[in-house]
Amino acid sequence: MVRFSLFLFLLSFQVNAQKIDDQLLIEARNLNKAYPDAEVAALSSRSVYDFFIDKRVGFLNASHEENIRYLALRSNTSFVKRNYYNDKSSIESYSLKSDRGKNYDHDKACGHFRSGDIFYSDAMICAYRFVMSLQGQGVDFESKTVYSDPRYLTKIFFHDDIPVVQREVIIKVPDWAEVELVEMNFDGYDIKKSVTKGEVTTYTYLISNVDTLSDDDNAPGSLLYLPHILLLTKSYVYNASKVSVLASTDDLYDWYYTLISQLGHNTTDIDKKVKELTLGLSTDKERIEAIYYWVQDNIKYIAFENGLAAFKPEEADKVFYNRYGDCKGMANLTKTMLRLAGFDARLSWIGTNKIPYTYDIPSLAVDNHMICTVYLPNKQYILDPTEKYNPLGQHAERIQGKQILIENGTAYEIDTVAVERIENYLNESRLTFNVSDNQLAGTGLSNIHGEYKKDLFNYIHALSKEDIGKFLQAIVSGSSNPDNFNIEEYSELDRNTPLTITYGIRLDNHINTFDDEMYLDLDFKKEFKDLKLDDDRDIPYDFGRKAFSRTIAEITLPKGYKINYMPEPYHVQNDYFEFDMKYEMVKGKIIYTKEIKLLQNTLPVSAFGEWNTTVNNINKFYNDQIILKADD
Amino acid sequence: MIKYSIKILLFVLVIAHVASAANDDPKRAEEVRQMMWKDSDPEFSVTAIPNKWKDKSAVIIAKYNMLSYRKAALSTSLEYIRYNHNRIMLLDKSAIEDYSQFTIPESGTYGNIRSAFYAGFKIVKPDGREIEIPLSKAVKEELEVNNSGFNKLKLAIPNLEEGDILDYYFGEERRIVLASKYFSFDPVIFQLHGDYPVMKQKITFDVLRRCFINLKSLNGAPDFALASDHKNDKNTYTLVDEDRESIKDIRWLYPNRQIPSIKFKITYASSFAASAPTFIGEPGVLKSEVTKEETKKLVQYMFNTSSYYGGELKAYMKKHHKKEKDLNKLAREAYYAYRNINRIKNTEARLLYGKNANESSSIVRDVITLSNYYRWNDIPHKVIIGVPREISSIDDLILENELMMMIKVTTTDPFYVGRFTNHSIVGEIDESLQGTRAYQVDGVLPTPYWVLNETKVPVHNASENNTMSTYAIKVLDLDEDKVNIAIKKSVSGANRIFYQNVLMDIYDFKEEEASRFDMGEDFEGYKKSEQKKLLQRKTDYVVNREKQFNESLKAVVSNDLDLIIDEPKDLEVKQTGRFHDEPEFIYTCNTDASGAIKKAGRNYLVNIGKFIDGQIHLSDEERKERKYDVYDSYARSFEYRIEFIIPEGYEVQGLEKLENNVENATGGFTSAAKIDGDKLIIESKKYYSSNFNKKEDWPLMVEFLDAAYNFTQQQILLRKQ
Repeated sequence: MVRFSLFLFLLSFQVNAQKIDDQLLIEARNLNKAYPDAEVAALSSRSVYDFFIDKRVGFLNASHEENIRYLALRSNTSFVKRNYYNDKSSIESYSLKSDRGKNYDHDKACGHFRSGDIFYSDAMICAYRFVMSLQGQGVDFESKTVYSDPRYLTKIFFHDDIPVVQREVIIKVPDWAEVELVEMNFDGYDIKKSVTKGEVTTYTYLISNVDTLSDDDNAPGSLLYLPHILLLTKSYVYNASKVSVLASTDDLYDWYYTLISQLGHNTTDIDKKVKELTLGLSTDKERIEAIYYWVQDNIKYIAFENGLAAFKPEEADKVFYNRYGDCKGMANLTKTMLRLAGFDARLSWIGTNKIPYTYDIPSLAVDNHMICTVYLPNKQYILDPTEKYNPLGQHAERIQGKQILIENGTAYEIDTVAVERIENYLNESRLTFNVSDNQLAGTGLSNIHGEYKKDLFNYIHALSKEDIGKFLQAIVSGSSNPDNFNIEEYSELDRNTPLTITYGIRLDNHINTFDDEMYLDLDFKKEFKDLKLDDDRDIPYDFGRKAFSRTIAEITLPKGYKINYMPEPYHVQNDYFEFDMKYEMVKGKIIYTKEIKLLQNTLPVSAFGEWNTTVNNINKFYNDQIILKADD
Repeated sequence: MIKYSIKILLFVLVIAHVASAANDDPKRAEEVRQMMWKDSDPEFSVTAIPNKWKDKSAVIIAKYNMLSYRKAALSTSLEYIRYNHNRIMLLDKSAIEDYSQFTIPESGTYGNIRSAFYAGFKIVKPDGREIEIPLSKAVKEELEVNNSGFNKLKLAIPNLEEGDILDYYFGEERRIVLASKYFSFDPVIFQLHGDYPVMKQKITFDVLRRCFINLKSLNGAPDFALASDHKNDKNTYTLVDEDRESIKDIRWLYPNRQIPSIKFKITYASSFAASAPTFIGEPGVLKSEVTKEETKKLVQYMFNTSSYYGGELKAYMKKHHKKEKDLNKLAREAYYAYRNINRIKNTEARLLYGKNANESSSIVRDVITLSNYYRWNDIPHKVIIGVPREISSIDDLILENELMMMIKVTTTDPFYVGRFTNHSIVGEIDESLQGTRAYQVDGVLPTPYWVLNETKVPVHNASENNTMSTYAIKVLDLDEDKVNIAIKKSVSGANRIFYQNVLMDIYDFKEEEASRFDMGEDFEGYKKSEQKKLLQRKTDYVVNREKQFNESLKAVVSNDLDLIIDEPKDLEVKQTGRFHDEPEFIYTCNTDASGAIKKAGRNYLVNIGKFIDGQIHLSDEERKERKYDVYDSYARSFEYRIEFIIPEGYEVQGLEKLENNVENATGGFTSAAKIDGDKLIIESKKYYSSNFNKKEDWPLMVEFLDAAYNFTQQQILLRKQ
């Protein structure tokens, strides 16, 4: 992206001169020992959620009042408190005070919130930055956020990006409102809950010593493991009549359906393109493929999430002209094109694998993605046009096994996306070596299927033409400086056949000769050898996708040598992974076979022990060498 | 990197902003549009690219940078206009990705600057259709910082496909309300090569009324041609260039010395301000040469206005070294005394206030202070004035802030003073000046009597910037691939700076400093209340210090050794390397590591080569013919002594692979191995002889770089007896 930037800011701070409370200093020193990596902690963090009627408009509103006491665990620290809002919520007030009650100097920056690959979103943020110059200094933060539409208040978390000594969440539900609380991932956390019933039912949750949010690599979506409360605001009574908010999946779909019903039908240009794409194609499958792949290849993913646009797809003709759109726009264009080609295509909502909820939970938090379902008389295809280079009939990792809500006029259907067989992930390499000039020389042929193939094509097409060769060298060699690999040929994109790469190999340091012995190391990739998980890691490990790799390498014994030693085979198999590695002697050749399967894309914490033992064992296998001995 | 070693005036931008949108003056927006798209040069109508570039990601068909600077008569404001017009053919998806989204700042008033932004985007389809994308399609991204707005417009380019030409311009018209008689724009360097090849490019300047332009075409870039418009009191300078290949990152390249480029700076000065001895020349007239005389005048001016610097140093020296008659000693002692007064006394408080305790100060001020002291005491010395070698040669000097200074003391035992940091010592020459041609003046003479002579600054040789690493390795577990390494490093010259800054703080050298200078106690001189707070900060710092250093140590050891490093510990600074009589920084530590041992039946292979530090692994592409000379920062050497304790019951085979002797004019790599009792001893050395090599000598460098890398891949056999 080309950016013109005008100013780089340098925010300046006034250092707050303040006397330090002895008690706070002692606490800061103790917490510094307990959390040596943290510079700031929250001594207390209290959130109170309340519901009320905005009498001006007669709608249910929700409020969130926050009180946090920050404590500097080190001198010369600064902290940024972030508050989020959007067009359905606003920050009504905030204050920052010293622990002695005086206004506290800070910088304030408010604006649009940039996140991930979203080009533009109406999500807003206010960031308050303050400096605490001395250990033991305390700062009190207070704020009140009001939600004009409580559907947008969906989740409450206990964790923060600093340690929290006392975290309290209070939810006050008046008896005229129906609000359900769903407790997620509470197991393993000592969260104390109490309920006081009355005109207002008060739910209080209390947890102590909440550790900092993990910044471990390869974390799966935090909703999968962090404790949180889902707030389901179902209905309320106003002027003696019941008003539904989101009481059921029917309500959720009704709203979604209202939004998609507003979409226009200007399809002249699109129709022309559909006719061009499907001309001469005889089967339904071919026609669907032509349209699906055209959208994948020609519509760039650029996400606008502005107001209702976060939920309502862009008009198909606009996406078609712009040649860009977000998932909703791309799904709607796909649907429109398929309908023009005479298919029963429908928009479908889905929560990707970052979201653990199913459609029995009526909440805007239940899904985050839109795709398209097309029905044939005896078959149904699920199409995700944002998944570039994905073949028809295969489902991307992130939607496999997930529930899908499919439009069906005023009704809807719920289905589940199939989980792909591990065989569809196969990445197979066949290598042939011989010993020449004290080098292992040979050829390789890799056939890559499935998600990995799709990812590789995404990379290949994001690279400039001159860099593709180097990239493929790195892929087949598993090395960042792969000059010993020479790409001979690779196949262009064909969704129905694997990516095929043929290459020459020259390995300099894989043979060692000592006296009459030759030591051979046939493995130049040694997958997962460094992937030992930290003992203190307490969140699951996300591999990104399932995987299945098979390597078969053969080497003809050099003349005058016989085998003196071959490493023992290694095999391990459980619900999450499978490793099978062995050397065999077949017809005068050594055959090395290595099969690795990651059967789930995420490894739960409970499987870490077995994983680390396996990494130790495969390292022993990798480090062991074949020994050949010269004939006497 | 440009070192701003001389700051003549500091311009402070006060930010207070009233926002509006880009292209917000429709009349002017239309004029700009007309100028860019209707009245542009013919190359902006080209739709074809040369065949030789058809496999590139993108080709810049035409590129135009138009700059204009003027000070309107009777106005207190300065007008600055900059337009950038690009026409680029996008040939693959990666180029489309690069050009599919734009962010444009919003017009507005920022302090005393009013900026109006204009932009236009159009796509030219292969069939010749032109599609304009109006800015109204952009969305506004808001940002407000402490009640000042910094909004931006974000535009996604629709309908962009491979083979399309994107033709866009972006311009800023800035009006600056002058608060003084002198205003200097930031220096700019335009490189004529970029990420994509360029068919044609043009740069023009209009410089009017009391605006001064210092500009130089470098490294083979074409010169500017002048067209004078006397009627409008306007001089336009134009550079036209064509057919430039794309260029990628290259190791050991100083782009400012090697890539065709233009460097320039624009200055406004009233006739009064222009009379000060700067490099600005005549208003409206391009100046691309700075004479020795002009350089002298500027430096004289700086010395004359700083003649009082050094009073505190003088008083200190008088008190403590009144009887010292040996000028060699006095000159050296004054350097360390100045380092103490100017830097070390404040270092502890700086550290505790969370500031960078090792930050360098103004070298100009340091040189003037020390030169003043030497002059007052008749210590013979030269002041050397040069230009950093990564910027340009002294012949290409055109900007004041390119100057750099140092001192050569010419007593009977002469030495250089080139660095002023917490840990610098006498005799050090900054690598930026080593080997350059520079001017020198006799520092003892009063400035009116100065005569600038040319001199060549010497180059420190490789052994003066040396790292001696001793790694004593003990196998902890052969099957588990685990060793313990006792590390001792002794580092000198420029090599040591990184280690000193990362592995040492004031508490490592406070005592040493106090043995020579009065350091005071517990923040004497600070207010009582501040003293108390500093002591509290100190308690906090000291508690967490070991953890912080262990983290730094892990980063350092992992960076040095290509192994999996456990948690290094027991860091001990044995010698600080802060005085010229003990110039090495020496530290020891200890770590467990893995990644070096492989099993082979009953025997083990040890990747012993990994115990010299990680080495440069050249790619095949780099090994090929080199198109550019090799600029390295400084000559340096690395010595290694590996003491590997042979596990009991094993014998070592394969020593012959550890012998290397590659030495040539550019550098070398040598290694030798022997068994000494139960130890395998390897001694090795790698060195770069010079900070510069001609491109023709690159194959010689490849020889020793490859030898060093190959050594890291060598394995020995531990054979079970």
